[in-house]
Amino acid sequence: MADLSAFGSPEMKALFCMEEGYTPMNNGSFGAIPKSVQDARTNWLAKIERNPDLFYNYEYYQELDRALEPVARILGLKNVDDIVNSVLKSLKQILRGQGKFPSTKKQKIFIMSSTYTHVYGAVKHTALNDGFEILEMKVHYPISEKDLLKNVEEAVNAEEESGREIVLAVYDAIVSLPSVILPFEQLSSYFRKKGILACVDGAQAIGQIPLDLTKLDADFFISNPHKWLYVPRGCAMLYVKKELQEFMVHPLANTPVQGNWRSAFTWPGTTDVSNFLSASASVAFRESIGGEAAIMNYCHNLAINGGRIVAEKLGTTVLLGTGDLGSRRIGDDYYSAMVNVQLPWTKHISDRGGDSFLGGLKETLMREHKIAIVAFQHGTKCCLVPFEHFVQLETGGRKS
Amino acid sequence: MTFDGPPPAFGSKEMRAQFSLDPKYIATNHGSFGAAPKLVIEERIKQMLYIEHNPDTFCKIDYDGVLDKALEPVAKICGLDDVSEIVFTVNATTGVNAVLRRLRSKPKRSFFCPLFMETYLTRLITTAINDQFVPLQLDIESPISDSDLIKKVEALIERERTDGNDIVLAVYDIVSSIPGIVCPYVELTRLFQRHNILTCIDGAHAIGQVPLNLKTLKPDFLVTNLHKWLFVPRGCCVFYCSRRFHGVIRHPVISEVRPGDWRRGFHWVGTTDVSAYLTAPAAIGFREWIGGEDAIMAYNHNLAIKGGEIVAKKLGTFIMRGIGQGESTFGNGLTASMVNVAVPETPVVTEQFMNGLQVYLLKEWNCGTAPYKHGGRYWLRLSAQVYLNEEDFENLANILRKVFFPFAINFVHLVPPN
Repeated sequence: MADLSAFGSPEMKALFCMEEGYTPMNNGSFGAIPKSVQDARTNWLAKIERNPDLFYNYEYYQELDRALEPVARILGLKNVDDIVNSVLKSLKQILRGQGKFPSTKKQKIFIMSSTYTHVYGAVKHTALNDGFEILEMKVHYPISEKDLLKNVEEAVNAEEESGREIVLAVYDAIVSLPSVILPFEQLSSYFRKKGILACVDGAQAIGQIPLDLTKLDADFFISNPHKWLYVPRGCAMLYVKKELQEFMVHPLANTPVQGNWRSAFTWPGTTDVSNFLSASASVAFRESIGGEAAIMNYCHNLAINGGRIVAEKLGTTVLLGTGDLGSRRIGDDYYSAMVNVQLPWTKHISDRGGDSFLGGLKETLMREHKIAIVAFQHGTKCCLVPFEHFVQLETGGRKS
Repeated sequence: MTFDGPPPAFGSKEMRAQFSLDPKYIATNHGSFGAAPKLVIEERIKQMLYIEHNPDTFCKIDYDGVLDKALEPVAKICGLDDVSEIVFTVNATTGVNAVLRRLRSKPKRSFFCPLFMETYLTRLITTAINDQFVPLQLDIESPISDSDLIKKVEALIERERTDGNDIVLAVYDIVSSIPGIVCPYVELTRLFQRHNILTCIDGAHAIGQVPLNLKTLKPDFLVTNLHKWLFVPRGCCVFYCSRRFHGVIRHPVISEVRPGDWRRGFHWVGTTDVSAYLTAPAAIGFREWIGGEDAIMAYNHNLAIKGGEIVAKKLGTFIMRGIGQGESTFGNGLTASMVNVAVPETPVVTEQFMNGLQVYLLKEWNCGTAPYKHGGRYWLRLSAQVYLNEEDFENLANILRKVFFPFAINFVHLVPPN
C-alpha cells in the first residue's frame, strides 16, 4: 500500500514506473501504471504459470469477474453483469434483432468530425462492408452545449426529412483532440428518444471524470481503464444495455457459452489476461493515495494552472468552454485532466508544413527533452498537454 | 538476453526448476496452454518495464522496429529469409478470423473445406464466415493412412465440382489438436494448390513441435502459436500471409484508417500490450541454450511414445499409431510431442464422467490431460516436454488407473495386470 504522498511530489512520481528525467505530459495517450500495479501483474503472471491448465479451465471467468468488480463500482454499477473487458461488429446483428435490418431506407451512422481517427476507421469499414452510410457532423471547438445539441438535432432532422434513417450514433464523452468534455449525457438521452442506438466512446473517461452508468441513458459505453485508471495497457471495458446483450458479437468469432454474451468477449482465443486481473490493484492504489475524487480534482486544477503557465510563456490562450452563464462545462469546466494550449506562430507552422512540423516538434520534444505532448491542428493550432498528478508545476519554457 | 553456464539436462530436476510450474503438478498437458521458463518470464517483465519507462517513445517511435526485430529469429525457425510475410498476433483465432473475414464470393455459391477440425475452429468458422459461404466439413476418423486421406479429399473436391460448387478455401492442420497427431499437410497443400483452392493452414501446434519451412511450403496463409510449443508467454502467435494477399488481408479489428502497410495493420490494433511478442527472441535463445530445436523435438517425441506406452500398459489399452505402411506418419510417426492414449471401456466411463474428467483430474489429482471423444471411443491426449521424464508418466499412469478402475475388486476381470 502506498503512503499518502502529496500529489505532485517527487515521492509520488517515484511510485510510478517512468524513467528519470522523463516528463510525461501525455498520460491521455498510453496511460501509466504505478510500480505496485506492475508488481500485482507480475504476481498474477506467476500464479497463472504455476498451473495454466487449472487457471484457464477452472478459475478464468471468476477471476476476471472479480477483477472487474471495483471497475463496476467506479461506473456506478452494482455488479459486472452488464460489462465486459469492445460495438461495431455487432451492429448488423443488433439491428436485425430490433427488426430494422435490412431496410428500404438508407441507413446511416452518425459521427462528429472530432471522432477519434481509429474509431472513424472502424465506422468507415463497417459502412463499406455492411452497407451503411456515414453522417459526419462538422464541429468546431469551443462550442456551447446548447449550440452543439442544436446542431445535432438539426442534422438528424434533416436526414429524417429526406427519408433517411440514422441507426447508430457514436460520440465522445471526452474528445481526444481537442480534449474537451461533450454533453454526452444529453446526447445519449436525445438519441435514445429518437430510437437511435447511442454509443458513447468514453475512452478517456474512466478515472478522469465521474461516471454513473445507471443514470446515463446510453446503449453502449466504452472506456479504457489503461488510460486514466492505472491499469496496465491493453485493457478496455464495454458496457451494453441489457436489451441488446444477446446480439453482441466479438469481432473475433470464437465459441461463446450459449446464452452468455459476456463469455464471447472474455475468451477470444487464448490470451494473456494479467492486465485485466490487475484492475483491482489499480483501483486499490487510487484509493490509497486519496481516492477518485481527490485524484480528479488535483489533476483538473493542475491542468488549469499548468495550462495557464504554458499559455503565458507562449503568449497564447487555453481552450475554454463557452455558453450562457449558469450552463455546465463553461470556462475551465470544459476539460478535466487534459488541457489545450494554443500554439503561437500559426504562419510559421504552416510555412514549415503544418502537420509534419507538428510531428517533428513532438518528436524533438520527446527525443531531446524527454517531454511528451500531443500537438495537433484544430482550426487554429492548438497543443494538447495532459497532466498527471506526479508532475510538478514547472515553468515549462519551450524553445522553438 | 544471454544464458550462461551449462544447461540443465532434459527431464532433470534442474530443468523442471527452470519452469514456474508447481512442482507437485503433473504437467502432462503442455499442448493446451504452453509454459514459459522462468528466465523468459523475467525477460518479459523487463520488457514491460522498458515500455513503462517511456510509453510515448515506445508506442510512437520504437514500436514497429522493435517488433520486427523480435520477429527475426522466428522467421529463421520458419525457414523464411526475412519478416516481410509474417506478423505477430495475440492468438491463432485472430489470424484465422483475418482470413475468413476478407473472403468475398463470386456470384456462384462457394464452399469452405475444413478438415481435421478441432471443434473450436469448426464453430468459429460457422460463426465467422459471412452468408456467402458454406462450411464443408470432411469427417475423418483417425488413424487413417495419408494416401487414404488424400484420396478422400480429392473425391470430395471432384464431387463438389460436379455439383457445380466451388471450394474456395481449405483450412487444415499441421499437427491436429484432437486427436493430437501429425497430418500430411505438405501433400494436402500441394493437392489444394493444384486445384486452385486457397490454403489456410492451422499450424497452432506446429512451431516448436515439428520442423517448419514456409519458404518451400508456400501456403497462402498459416497461423502458428508461439505460446504453445515455443516457450513464449501467452498470447503470442505468428500469422503468415503470402505476398499476393498483402493488399487484401486486414486484422479483424479496424484501427488506423490507412495503416502504413499490411503488417502495421496487424501490429497496431489500438493500444495493446505487446510484451509477450518482445519475449520471442529470449524464448528461442533459451531453447538454443538447452540444446536447440532438433534436440528438444527429438526428446519430446521419444518421451511422448515412451510415456504413452507406460500409461497405455497401466490402463490395458493402446496408443494411437499411424497405419499407412511406408508413410512418414506410419506407426509412431503419427506422434510428435503429443500422444493419444485410448481410455479403457469401464463402467465408470460415461459421457458425464468424461465431460468432467479434465477439471476433476486437475483439482483432485493435480494432473493435466486433454480428454476427448473420437471414433466412438474416449482418448487422453498427453504432452511430453523437456521438464518431464518417464517417472512423471508413471505417476500419471498410477493415478489414471485409480480413476478408471476405482473399485478394482468389482471389476477384477477388467483391470489389466500391473
